[in-house]
Amino acid sequence: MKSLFAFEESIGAILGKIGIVLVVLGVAYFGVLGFGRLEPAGKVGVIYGVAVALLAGGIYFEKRERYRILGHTLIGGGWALLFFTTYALNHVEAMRVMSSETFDLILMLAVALGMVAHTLRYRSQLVTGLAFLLAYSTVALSHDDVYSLSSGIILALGLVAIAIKMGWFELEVFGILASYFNHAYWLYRLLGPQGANGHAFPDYHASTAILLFYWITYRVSYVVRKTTSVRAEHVSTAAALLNTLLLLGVMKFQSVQPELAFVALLIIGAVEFTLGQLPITRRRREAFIVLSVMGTALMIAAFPFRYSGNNLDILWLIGAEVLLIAGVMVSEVVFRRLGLFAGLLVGLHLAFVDLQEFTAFRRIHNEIDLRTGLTFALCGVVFYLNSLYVSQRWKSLFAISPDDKLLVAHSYIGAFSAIFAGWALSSGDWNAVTFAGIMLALAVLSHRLKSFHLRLQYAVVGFLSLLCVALVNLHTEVPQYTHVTNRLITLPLIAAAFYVTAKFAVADQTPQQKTFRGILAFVGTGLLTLLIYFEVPEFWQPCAAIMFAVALLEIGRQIRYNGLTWHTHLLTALAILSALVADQSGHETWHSIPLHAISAFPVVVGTYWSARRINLPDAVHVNLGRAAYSWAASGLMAWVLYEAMPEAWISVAWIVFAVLLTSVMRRIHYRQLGWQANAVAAAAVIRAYQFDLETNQQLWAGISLRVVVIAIVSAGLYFLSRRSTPSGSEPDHIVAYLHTTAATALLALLAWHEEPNGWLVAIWAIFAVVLIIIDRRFEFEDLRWQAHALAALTMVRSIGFNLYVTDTWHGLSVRLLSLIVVAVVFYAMALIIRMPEEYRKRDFHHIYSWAASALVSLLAWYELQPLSVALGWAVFGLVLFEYGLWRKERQFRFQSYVALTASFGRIFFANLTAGNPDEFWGPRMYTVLPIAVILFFVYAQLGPDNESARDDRRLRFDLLLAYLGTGAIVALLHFQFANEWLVTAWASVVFALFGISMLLDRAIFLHQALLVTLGTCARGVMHNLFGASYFTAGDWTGRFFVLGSAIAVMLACLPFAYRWRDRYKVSQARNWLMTLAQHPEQVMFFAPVVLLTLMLAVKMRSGMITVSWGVESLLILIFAFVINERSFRLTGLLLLLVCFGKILVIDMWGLETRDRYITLIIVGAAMSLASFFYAKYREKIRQFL
Amino acid sequence: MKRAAVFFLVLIASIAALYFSQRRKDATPVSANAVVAMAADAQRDITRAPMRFTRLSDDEEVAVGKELADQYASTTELSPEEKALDDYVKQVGNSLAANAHRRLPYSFHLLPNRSMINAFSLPGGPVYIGEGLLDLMTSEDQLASVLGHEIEHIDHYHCAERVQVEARMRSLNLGIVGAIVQIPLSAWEAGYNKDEEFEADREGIRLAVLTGYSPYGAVSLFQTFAKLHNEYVIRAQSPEEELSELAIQSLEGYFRSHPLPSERIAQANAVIAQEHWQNSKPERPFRVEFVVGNGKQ
Repeated sequence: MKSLFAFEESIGAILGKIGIVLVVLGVAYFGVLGFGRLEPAGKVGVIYGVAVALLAGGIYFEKRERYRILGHTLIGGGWALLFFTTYALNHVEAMRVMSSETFDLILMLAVALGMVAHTLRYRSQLVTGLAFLLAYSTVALSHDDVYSLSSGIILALGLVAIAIKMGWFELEVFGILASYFNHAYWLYRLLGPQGANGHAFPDYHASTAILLFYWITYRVSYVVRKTTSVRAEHVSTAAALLNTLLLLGVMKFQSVQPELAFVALLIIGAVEFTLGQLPITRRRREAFIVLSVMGTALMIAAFPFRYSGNNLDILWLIGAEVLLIAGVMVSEVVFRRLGLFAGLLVGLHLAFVDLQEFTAFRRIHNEIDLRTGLTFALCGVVFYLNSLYVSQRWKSLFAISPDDKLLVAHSYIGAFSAIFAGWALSSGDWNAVTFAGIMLALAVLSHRLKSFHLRLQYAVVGFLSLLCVALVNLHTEVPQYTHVTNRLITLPLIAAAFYVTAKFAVADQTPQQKTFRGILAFVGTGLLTLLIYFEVPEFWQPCAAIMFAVALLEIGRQIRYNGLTWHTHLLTALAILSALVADQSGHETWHSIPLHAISAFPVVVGTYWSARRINLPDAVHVNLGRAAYSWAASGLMAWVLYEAMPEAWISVAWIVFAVLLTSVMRRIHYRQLGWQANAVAAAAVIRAYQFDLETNQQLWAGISLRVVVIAIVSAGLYFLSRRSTPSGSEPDHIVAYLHTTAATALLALLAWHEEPNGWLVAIWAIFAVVLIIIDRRFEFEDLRWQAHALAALTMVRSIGFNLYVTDTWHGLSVRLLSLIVVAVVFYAMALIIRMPEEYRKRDFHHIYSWAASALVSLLAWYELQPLSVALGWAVFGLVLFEYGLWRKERQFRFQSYVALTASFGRIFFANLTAGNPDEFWGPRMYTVLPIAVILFFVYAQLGPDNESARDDRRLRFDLLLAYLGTGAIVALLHFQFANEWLVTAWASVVFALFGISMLLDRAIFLHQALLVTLGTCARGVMHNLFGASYFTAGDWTGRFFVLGSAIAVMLACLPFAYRWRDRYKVSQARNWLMTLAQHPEQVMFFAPVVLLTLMLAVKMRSGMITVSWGVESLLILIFAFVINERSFRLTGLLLLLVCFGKILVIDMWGLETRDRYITLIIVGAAMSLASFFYAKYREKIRQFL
Repeated sequence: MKRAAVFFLVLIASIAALYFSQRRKDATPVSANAVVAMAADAQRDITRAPMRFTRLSDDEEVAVGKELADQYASTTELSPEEKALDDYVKQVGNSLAANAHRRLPYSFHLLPNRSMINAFSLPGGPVYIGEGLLDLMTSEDQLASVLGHEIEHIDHYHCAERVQVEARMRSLNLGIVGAIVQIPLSAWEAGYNKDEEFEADREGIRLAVLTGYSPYGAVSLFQTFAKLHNEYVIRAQSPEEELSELAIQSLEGYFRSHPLPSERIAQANAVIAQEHWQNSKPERPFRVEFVVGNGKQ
């Protein structure tokens, strides 16, 4: 805190200095720019007077320790002004009172800066490099013919000599760059940007000789040098690489015979490789590697310039194998790796060149390509030999990275080659068979060598085989059920290959391995399933599929491979699906029974069989499978009934089937059948709801088919509700609930269909009461819940239908009567309904009173005038509140709060815009004001002394009502007053809220006052300042009076705010509003100050803005010093600094002359005074820190 | 006891207010006007400061107005009667524009559509008035009040700010004048918010008086609007009608928050009283100098 004040104090001191500077400048401007009719002598006199006054003031203050700095500043300012004035005596036109050029020159003394030059000498690469750079530059600028390049040779020789002698290999890198670029620049000037481009030029041979000389010079330097550090070796490597690369680049630029590239690359490569093998080179491992690799690379790169296609593959392959074998024989890793990398190059060539040519060939000819096939096959064999044999035979040589990875890559290249060899050597349907064969072969090898990569490869090959099957072997272009010989032959063969591959697929017993095998076996089954799909007729497909499924189930049991059980599952699902989709229109029938229903029956039998025979090691899985199969069989049987029975009796058939399933369940004690019975019963209910309820067919003597069917279904449901569990066990309550609920719902719906009018809600409400009475007597809990549901439906129908009923009954409105009956029944239900004590304690029974109150509110909405609705709700809320308070029933009070909130919301849609514009005491006032009074009255009842309203306070309803009351007033003012005066009206509300908060000692009104203050401030800024008219705010009232009044009212709240701050000193702030409430004086200060500052910025004439801010900031500072409030003080200080910044950035350059010096003088004076006050009140401020 | 007395006092007072409100003859329309007005007010207030700092230059505004005006350029020839009306509108409009604050190339155009009871303006100067609105007029002062109102929309940057608002809503680049014309023309016909409409009314009347017209032209025209409003306004008869009306008004009303005619009349009368214009000269008759013979004027 003290350091902050020290900073503030130092700013204060600086302000004094700045202030004096501004004053001096302002006065100077005054002198320079003129002032009305004042003569030069008069001006000089005035300014001298000011200067003397400053000096005198400075001398006076300087004697007092407290004001010493200010005194010094004033003296400085005074002397400066004296100096300026003296200068102006001759040099400023507006102030000229004498003439003397000599004196003028003395005053115009210029001050200049000198520069220091560096005369140091260095012994460093930098200096030498600089010298060489200059030499090369001069050469580059001066040479004309090729012989001028000889200077470059000399430089290169000299540079190499220095580099070898001094060990400055970095310098040699620079020399290489300079030599070749220098040469290239010469060629560029001679040949242009395209280079020689195959055209001979006279200096070609000389140029080539010079280039080769450069290359040899630098290469010799590289070979003979002795390096003493790793870094030096690395720099040398860079030099070696640059040497060859730049040579090739420049040679390419001047190339006149491209066909010689093969020879050139081969020779340079061979030389590099040979140099790499010299004993002098082999002493340096890095040099040996660099030269060997570069030589090999150049030689490999040479071949494509002469050879292409398969020949290139073979040549490269031979080279690669030679290097690999050499590396193995002499145990040199560089050669081995070069061989392996060269092999990769072969692979890339196969993939990106040969393969493209082959695919282009295959697009045109669907026949065997023996040459390509054999090339790929050879590559495949060689790469697999590298990968599988060489790696095993000389295992120790390939144990480290990247050799092992390169061999793996060879393995994949081998697989790639094998795949395309197979593709090239077969065609049509037999591609898939070939791939399946490769897959099988690789699987056997993988199984033997336990190779992961081979497994991955044969998986890919298998996938390709499948892809071929999908694209070719399935022959989807042929209509379904048409026999295709190739398909009949190849699909079983491929399926067999997959089944056998599956046998070899498992290397260990991990889950991944088992899954892999399962996938392969699954593909086999899938292929045979597809064969069934394409070859077997539609009605026989379900039978064939279920037979295949049962067969797989039995085989799986025999060979103890449980994976086949999954195949059975899927095949059974397919059988069911095919049964369901076969002949969906049901055209083909047998004695009116659709054939597809008959063809589904074997599937039902097969599925039940599978349910019985399923065999898995895990009992849980067996139970799951059995349940699934029995569910599927029952579901399919229900579908068969749906298809076979007349439509009006389907629900009856289903309920009978459900009863049958229940009976079997109770006999064999298999619980799933009971659940299936429940599901079928649910389907029967849905069917009855969707179809039978809509049937209007009469059966006999006024009894409709609907009544009979619904009665049977309901009876079945009631039966099932008590018989849905195995004999001897307890009935399932949930199932009983569902069944009786469904039965009751069907009966309720039946009533709806039989009697669809305004009285239905009364019937339902009474029915609900009857159910509740039965529940009270017999404790049938499910009936009670059904009563709840009926009551909910009654409520929905009351709102959705009865509110719109306009019928009358004996002259009385059916809407009014029926809804009164419902409301009364609901209030009664709230009293008599049976429910657990725990629920009753939690007021669940008041749902009915809530519903009743909602209905009453809705009736009020419909019966009252639009203008009266809000007030009607408020009165109803008031009555509910009083009743709730009297009976100590909080739910009635809560209902009251909702009604009051709705009333508040309603005023925005009817009341606030009511009445005529010139009518002050109109309907807006006499309807909104009572609502606000009711809100405040109810709020007042919720004080801390009212013990019964503890929950209301806990839930903050008191705050809600207080906010709504104030909100109503604020909104009323918004529409009652003219837009521009709203800010003053709200400021008055702030004042009133502060007063009320002090009077009642309720912090809520303080919070509201702060919120309204923020709103007022925002409104003032956005509407009155930035929202005001561009042209018509000129009158005094429009400019300042409206906002000024609001600012004054807000500032008048400061005494209240200070008293509240003292009360809140120890309170804990729980949110931002409470934080603000801890310092209300800050809000009540800053809101008007912000408004005032912005008002001055927007409303003042542009030339006077800074002046007004300066005065404002000084007033703020004085006020802050008087009440000793640091934040206010800082605000004043900040505003003064803003003034200073504005002067610097804007006013000095943009203002009119008169405004400018007035601004400078007044703001400067304000700053000086601020500095004075800082000095004066220094002890007082420190005392309160 | 004291509490009970206060309760009954509040209850009785509220019931009395309820009684009076039930007996009130003129049915209060239920609308979202209050909410919409507050929202529009807030929206306008929030955009004030940015509007000030992102102001279009006059040249940009004129360029945008020209682009937009091209879309209204009629391809069909005006009939002689319409031509005469168009000239009349131009004559009155030009006399008013001479007294506007900003020196812009104002232009005035008749839209020959008798079902169009509207007038609107575009940034930079173009003003359009529908023939249907002219049919309602009985004096030249009424025409002057409408044209003055539209001029003031331009003069007070309401149109320019609509460009800024619409451009921002559509994420358009203000630098590309062509992009502005993507703004549908209906946006210009929809009018402005309550404050801006009031301002245009107020300043339009001042402009008309400054040009020598009677301020009562505006009053009498607003009275005609009020009559039309009372004829066409839909008063909901049930809560569900209220809700549907509210939904429609809430959707449409945000950008169509014109003040009610009664409010506009009240403001016009207040301006007349404030400026002491009660004894201004009488309204001039609506006249179109058109001679039918051979289409000569």
